[in-house]
Amino acid sequence: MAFNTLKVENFLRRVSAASIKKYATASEAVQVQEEPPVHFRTAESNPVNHTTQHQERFYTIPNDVYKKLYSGGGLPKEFMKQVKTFNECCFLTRSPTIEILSYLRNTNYNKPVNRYVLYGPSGCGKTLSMAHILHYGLATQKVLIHIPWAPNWFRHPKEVANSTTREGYVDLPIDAAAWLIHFKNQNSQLLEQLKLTTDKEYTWSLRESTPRGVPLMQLIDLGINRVRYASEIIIALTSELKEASIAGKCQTLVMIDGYNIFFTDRTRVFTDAKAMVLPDKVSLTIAALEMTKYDWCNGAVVVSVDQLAVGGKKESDLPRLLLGKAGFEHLDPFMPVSVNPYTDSEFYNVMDYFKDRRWVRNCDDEGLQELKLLSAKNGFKLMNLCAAL
Amino acid sequence: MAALKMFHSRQFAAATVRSLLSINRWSEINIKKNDYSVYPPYYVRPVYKKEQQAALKGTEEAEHLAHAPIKAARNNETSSVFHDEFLRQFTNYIMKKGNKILARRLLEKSLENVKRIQLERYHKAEPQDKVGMELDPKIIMHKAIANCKPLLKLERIKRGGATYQVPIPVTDKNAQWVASKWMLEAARDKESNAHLPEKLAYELLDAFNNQNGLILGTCYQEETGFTQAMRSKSSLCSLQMELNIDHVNSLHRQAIVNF
Repeated sequence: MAFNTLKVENFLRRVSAASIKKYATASEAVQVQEEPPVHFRTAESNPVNHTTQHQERFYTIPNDVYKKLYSGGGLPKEFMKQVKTFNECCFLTRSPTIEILSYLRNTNYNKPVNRYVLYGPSGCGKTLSMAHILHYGLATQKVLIHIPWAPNWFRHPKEVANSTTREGYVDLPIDAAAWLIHFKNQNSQLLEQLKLTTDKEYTWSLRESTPRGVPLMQLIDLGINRVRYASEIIIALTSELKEASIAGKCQTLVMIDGYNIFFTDRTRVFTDAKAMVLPDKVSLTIAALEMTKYDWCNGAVVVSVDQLAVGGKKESDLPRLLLGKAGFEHLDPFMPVSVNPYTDSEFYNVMDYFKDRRWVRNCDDEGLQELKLLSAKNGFKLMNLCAAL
Repeated sequence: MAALKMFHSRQFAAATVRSLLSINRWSEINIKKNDYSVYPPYYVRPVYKKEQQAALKGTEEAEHLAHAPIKAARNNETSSVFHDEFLRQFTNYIMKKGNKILARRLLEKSLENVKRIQLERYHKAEPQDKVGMELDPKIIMHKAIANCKPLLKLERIKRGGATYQVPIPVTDKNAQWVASKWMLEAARDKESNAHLPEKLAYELLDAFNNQNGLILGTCYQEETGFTQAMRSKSSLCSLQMELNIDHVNSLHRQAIVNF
């Protein structure tokens, strides 16, 4: 008898308060079941509410958000393929993301911006963590300054032109205009609401200029239409947003993937004289570095450092080595957040998700064990190993 | 020092000389010309599959193997649960100039493409259509090749000073090789902008669904030779690919008699 009561007590202790409420006679409305029946998914698709409770589970990104945020980049190519095949876009809620989201929620935004640096071995999910945080930025009405993969500017520039306004600098007009389109896609609705206007007068050339008090949208459109000025317009736009954030008109979230490329000593940007141009002589770098300084508030900076950004293998994936002395001092003080391979339970949840999507079938325990060992619980490797199964 | 002593000892020297001179010993080793294997011929091939090992357990052969020297398994022979004997073979068919890494990647990519095509259809299909849809690329590949296997091949046969090409049944292994070869030929015959994995994936899916040009027997040399032979002999005109081997056997015997 005593044993039985003990059992019941134990059971009651394990049942959460919420579910007891559900069975209470006083509850009037029928409660909708919050969690879907599968253990690897969560119905909570708003990243604002993501906490450790949702950790290690997949959440679905609504289709319109997917198109709005990531159509100009921000997700790895292989992952985009996966989205098409699976007919849905799902992110795994992981501990580095949860950590940064909790910081972003609890930060005092009157203080200088915090810089968060994601680091870790390649294929473990730095970019996808960034994508998740980007969704949070959209949900919390932040202006998103998102550079999907900065190395593209320096490793595959579409066009290189000498800057007309800055001595010794080069512009990447087409890449700059493409980024402006990306920025416009992500922020057009928010900018219309905020009604931000230019604070200064800008002169692009002898004939063309932008007076004070012009909506920022107009500035962006000018950059898209007049590709020659796109680089300069990005610098102007970022400084305007910085000023607006300091004035408290808006909140800004800066996200740069592959940030360490700005401090590299090798690029594929060449002048007409075939001389290599280092990132500090490319005008787009000015904007990126300006946004990652700590001299402003009402914002946050999340960057990732990546071995792949600088090409080839580096002996370590830690921020100090990848950023170098200059980069480290530029970002210092920052909050490093490591993105590691899957934990065991994450691995099994991912495999269950794959099974649910029919990406793998009939994979028994032995098969799981083999995949776990071969992939070393690295997400990218696991995806590739499962590809032919 | 001890070794030196042994070397000098009469016993040891006598044994060495005897062994060197013994004819039996040489015949045992049986050195072949142009045999570059690092293993002597009495080494046996390993049994690397877990199921095969389990099947061997307790048998006489297993006891024999327990005491036989065994060669190391090849790189592509693993006890992985995902290992597939036919895929291993097909990798070698794709391979050019010994580049097995590339060959394996191409095959894996092809299987991935097959799966992606099927999965996209699957997720867009109505629930009632989803049932029975084959998604496993390995099964699709096996069935596709099985569907392409020929039942007959042309053999040159001499009768009365003249050679005739006579259709005879093929062994299963030969049929598999020919079907794989045709499949690869079809996949390699492509536009310059298409890659092998994409084309092979489409060919496999077509063959799986029995819609391949290959199966209809129109565009391949062996196939054409065969169909011509079919047409030339009225007794064999009714022969189609669907005929089973036993039936063909009797017919082809008849055909030889007719020739």
